[in-house]
Amino acid sequence: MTATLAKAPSSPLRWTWAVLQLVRRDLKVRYKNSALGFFWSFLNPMMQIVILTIVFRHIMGSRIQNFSMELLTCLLPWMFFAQSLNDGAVCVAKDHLLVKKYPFPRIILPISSICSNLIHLVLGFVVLLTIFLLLPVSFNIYFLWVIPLLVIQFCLTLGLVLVAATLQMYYEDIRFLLASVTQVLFYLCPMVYTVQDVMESTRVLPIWKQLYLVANPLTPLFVGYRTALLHGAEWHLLGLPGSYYSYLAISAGWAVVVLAVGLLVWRRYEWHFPEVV
Amino acid sequence: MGAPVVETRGLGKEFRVRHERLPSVKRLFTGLLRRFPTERLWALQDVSIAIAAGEAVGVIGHNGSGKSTLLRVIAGIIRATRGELIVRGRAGGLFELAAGLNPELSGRDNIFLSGALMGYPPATVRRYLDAIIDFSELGQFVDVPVKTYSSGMGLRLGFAIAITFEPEVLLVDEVLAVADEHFQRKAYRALRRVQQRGSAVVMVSHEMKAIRELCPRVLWLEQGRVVADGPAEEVIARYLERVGAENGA
Repeated sequence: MTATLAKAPSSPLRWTWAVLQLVRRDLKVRYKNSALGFFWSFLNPMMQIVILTIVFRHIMGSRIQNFSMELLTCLLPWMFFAQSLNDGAVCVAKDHLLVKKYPFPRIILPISSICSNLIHLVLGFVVLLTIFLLLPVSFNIYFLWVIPLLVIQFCLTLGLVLVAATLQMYYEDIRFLLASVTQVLFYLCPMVYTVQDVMESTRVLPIWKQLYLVANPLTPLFVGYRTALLHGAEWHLLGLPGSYYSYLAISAGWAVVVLAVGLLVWRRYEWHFPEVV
Repeated sequence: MGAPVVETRGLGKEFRVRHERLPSVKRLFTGLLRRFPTERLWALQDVSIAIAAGEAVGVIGHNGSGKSTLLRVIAGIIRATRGELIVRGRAGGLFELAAGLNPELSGRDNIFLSGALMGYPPATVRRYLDAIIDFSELGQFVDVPVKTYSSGMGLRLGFAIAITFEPEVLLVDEVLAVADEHFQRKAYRALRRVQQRGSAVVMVSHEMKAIRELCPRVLWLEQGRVVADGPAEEVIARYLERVGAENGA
């Protein structure tokens, strides 16, 4: 079928307004009637930090110095990832009334869903920088590493969300599956331990070590946030076999592949959404 | 009058209807690759129509005859399976009662959100804002969450949003039946005004009185096919005759 829109309101850029409006709606609805508002979304990581520090640093005796700060710098991006994935999976199902009413490009739903969570991450980073003021951490140019890391993470997340949201339209299971998967994934990423711990372990087979380094595109991102924010991008201290940049390149490669697959799946199914919801 | 604003050639829409929805875990074990049993159903078949600017067309037919599907295909919300559709201009409309309004947001926020989803930047929405609030007769309630609205208020806001931007093709799917007499009259007046300014109006309704009043031309659909397309009085008379015969009158 061919459809021609002769005098449609010009330029695809106009949909950025729709994204902004949807983000605004998400934030308004989420914090409506809550006296403490954004504070709640920072309290959650704080509680996690406290408990994880007690368990892994004080009880299990992790050798990571400054455990809670190390954890916080990558826990914020982690929460952005996990929350985006779980929110994103249901973003079309949640807004099925809009999908049935307006012919907007459907991709603005997952994009705005991720952007809402991105705002939380940015606010989280602002709080983090405020904490830095109290610590002997100096602000430096290496902080800017966060930007390319976020770009890679955004693409990766969007690709996964496009697939998850499409599947969710046909199988209600996806939402539940993702909730479990994200929990497991947390421990598959170097959050409460370091890459060095894995590499030096005598119980992990070399093949798994290899796989650990190249198969999880999140790993280079989280060690990246941590190193850039706390260690002035001293990548050589990471204990990685080889240069950090090559691992980051693998991560970026994954992001491109996942996003491409996500877009293909999306393009194939997006116009069926009004029929199945 | 120039080229028609809506043109369809051999338009067909096939739906696949799922018969059962197996419990998901069970399905996991019975084989993920097996497809859900589906039935194919042609909601529209070989629909070829042309609607000119400034024309008002009523669409009639039994429930399930494809009226709403036709409107949604023209609106660009669902894609036709076969055939060709040309829409010269913006198509917009009102499909369900207040649907798409967010209950947690205020009426005003909903206006901006709906506008943005129709592709209008905030500056454009702001230009139409007063007209929308005025038409919806919400008064100070426009700043109150929509969940506190009565169904009539929701309908009025939805209709006001749909009509005020004056799309070249305005699609109305029997939403007005539930409005009170006052708002119905006002809505029909507004539809006529929009039409006189050159927009095409396509309206689905089961109320022949409303169709007669507004639409000189009527399209009669049955099982996805066009049974008749012509002057309102003639088509409506044939349709009512058929309905009478079916009911053994």
